[in-house]
Amino acid sequence: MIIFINMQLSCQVNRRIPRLCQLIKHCVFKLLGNLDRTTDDGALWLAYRNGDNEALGVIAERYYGALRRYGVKFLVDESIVEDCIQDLFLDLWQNRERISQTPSVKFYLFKAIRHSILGHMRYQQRFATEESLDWDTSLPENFNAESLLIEQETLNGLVAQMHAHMEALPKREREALYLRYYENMSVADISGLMGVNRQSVSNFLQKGLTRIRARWFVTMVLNLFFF
Amino acid sequence: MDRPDYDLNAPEDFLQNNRFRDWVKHRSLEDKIFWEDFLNRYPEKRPAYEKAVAMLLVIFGNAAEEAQDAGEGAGRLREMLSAATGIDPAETDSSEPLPLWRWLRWSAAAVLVIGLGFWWSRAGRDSRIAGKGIAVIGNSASGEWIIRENQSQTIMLVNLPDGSSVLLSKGSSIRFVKEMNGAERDVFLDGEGFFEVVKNPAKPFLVHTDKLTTRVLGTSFRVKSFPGQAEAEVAVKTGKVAVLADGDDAAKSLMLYPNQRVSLIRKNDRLVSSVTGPARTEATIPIEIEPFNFQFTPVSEAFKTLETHYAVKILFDVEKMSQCTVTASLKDEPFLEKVRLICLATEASFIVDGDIVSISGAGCP
Repeated sequence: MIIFINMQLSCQVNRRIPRLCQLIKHCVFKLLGNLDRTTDDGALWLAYRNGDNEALGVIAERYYGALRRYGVKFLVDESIVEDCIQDLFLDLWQNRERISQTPSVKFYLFKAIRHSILGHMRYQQRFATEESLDWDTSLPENFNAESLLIEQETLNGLVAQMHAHMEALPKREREALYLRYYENMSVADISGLMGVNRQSVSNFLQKGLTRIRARWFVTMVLNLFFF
Repeated sequence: MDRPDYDLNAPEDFLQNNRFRDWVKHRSLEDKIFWEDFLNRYPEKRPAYEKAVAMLLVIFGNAAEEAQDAGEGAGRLREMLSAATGIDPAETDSSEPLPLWRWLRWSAAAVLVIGLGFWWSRAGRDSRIAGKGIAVIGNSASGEWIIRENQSQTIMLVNLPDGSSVLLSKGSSIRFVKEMNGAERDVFLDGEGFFEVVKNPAKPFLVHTDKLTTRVLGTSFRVKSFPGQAEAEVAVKTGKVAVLADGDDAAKSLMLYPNQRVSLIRKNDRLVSSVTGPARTEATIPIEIEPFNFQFTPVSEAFKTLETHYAVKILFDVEKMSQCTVTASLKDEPFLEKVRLICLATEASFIVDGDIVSISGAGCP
């Protein structure tokens, strides 16, 4: 379910009643304390479910960047991803009493954000499915090769070739590779997240890598012959 | 576990190595020393190393360099969250208008919900309404039972204590406990009803009929089982439901998914021959195929849609609210939830009295 509110309007209304907002804000008290950036996810989740707003704040801060990066990868507008994240956390806060303990907060949040982006696409185009989820393969403008102990020109060449192979992979395989190697997720979590069974995630990863490597050799051989 | 560094040979070996991935991702000084040393010790592994770096950079894509600039957004999100409870550690004034406003929206919603709860408790006590098809029966064990019967010739909307809604077909009746605070939400149906159930995984919602039981956590679906008729039917609009024929054990329940339908026919006193198929038949009622998808829809039209499907009267100031539009997808929200969300979006409030809903709002600019 998605509801869009006219932002301009909300600001206008808000300007009229800031005093009231302030007043009400001061009437609500913090429930639990002693949480900081080093507290682990499970403890934070528990505290949040017990009504600690700070705890949810720490979780939000911890995962905001990762969720945003992941969301933008689906080639959805940044502002929409940000809205989705905002709504996700507001929903979490609203429904804190109905949310259960989770073995992996990160998995929970990723799954939720993926779901809400898919929901957004469904809202835009009626029959959006998993397949309508895109996956971004663009590269950073300039990556500093020296900082990775490689000559810039060598790395530029390698990355360009790799990039071409990567773009030929199916979108879901690219997503699985990202989740596995950038987000360090387990195969089990990836399968839960993408709604496919474990074996096919392993296959995705395996096939993705071998395909990249196979093409790699073809290019190398061709290069040897023609250049 | 990571392999020892001398065992890193193919580019894939590097990819599987946590330390390697961390290095490409964060490029810390400590790791730099480690990998410099590694490349000096095993110069023959440099090509594999370089390929692996290229692979990772391509897999990371844009994320590789973007990792740092999320701080600002995270800060905003945190501010907004603390605004959501009213805790604002810095006690700054309203430099960020949105969070405060959001907060106010939710508090308005809370007031509405509390108001509704109040209305419910009043409606339940007020046995005068019984003349309109409601009966309240005392029951010492599990609180008061409420029975609602549709004796009219059209459909009738029944709002349940948990916020779910039922559209009763003519000649049907439904029975439920006033508080609905048991471990399960049980309703007993004679006849036909279309259900939109509030999601609550902790409290399953069960529709009992004389032939079958339908069990859900939150979804919308239609159940038809008139006493005295041999056939019973369940059709699903959204979500999934489990259907259990009378007398079968729970393990034999049948899962139904959106746009699926099952019919059970009683033969020799046993329910046999279940026919599953697409949900659309001549028995389908209009609400089952209504998507309630509003895109910049004038609020008057949205209300009209609700009036048609729920057989209610919605009163609102046509002139004041002429500028209001609704953009929302409300496919399986219960009736009260639909009204609440439309009111949230148009900054209006509402009061429900029987089958009349009064909306009051300042209008939209």
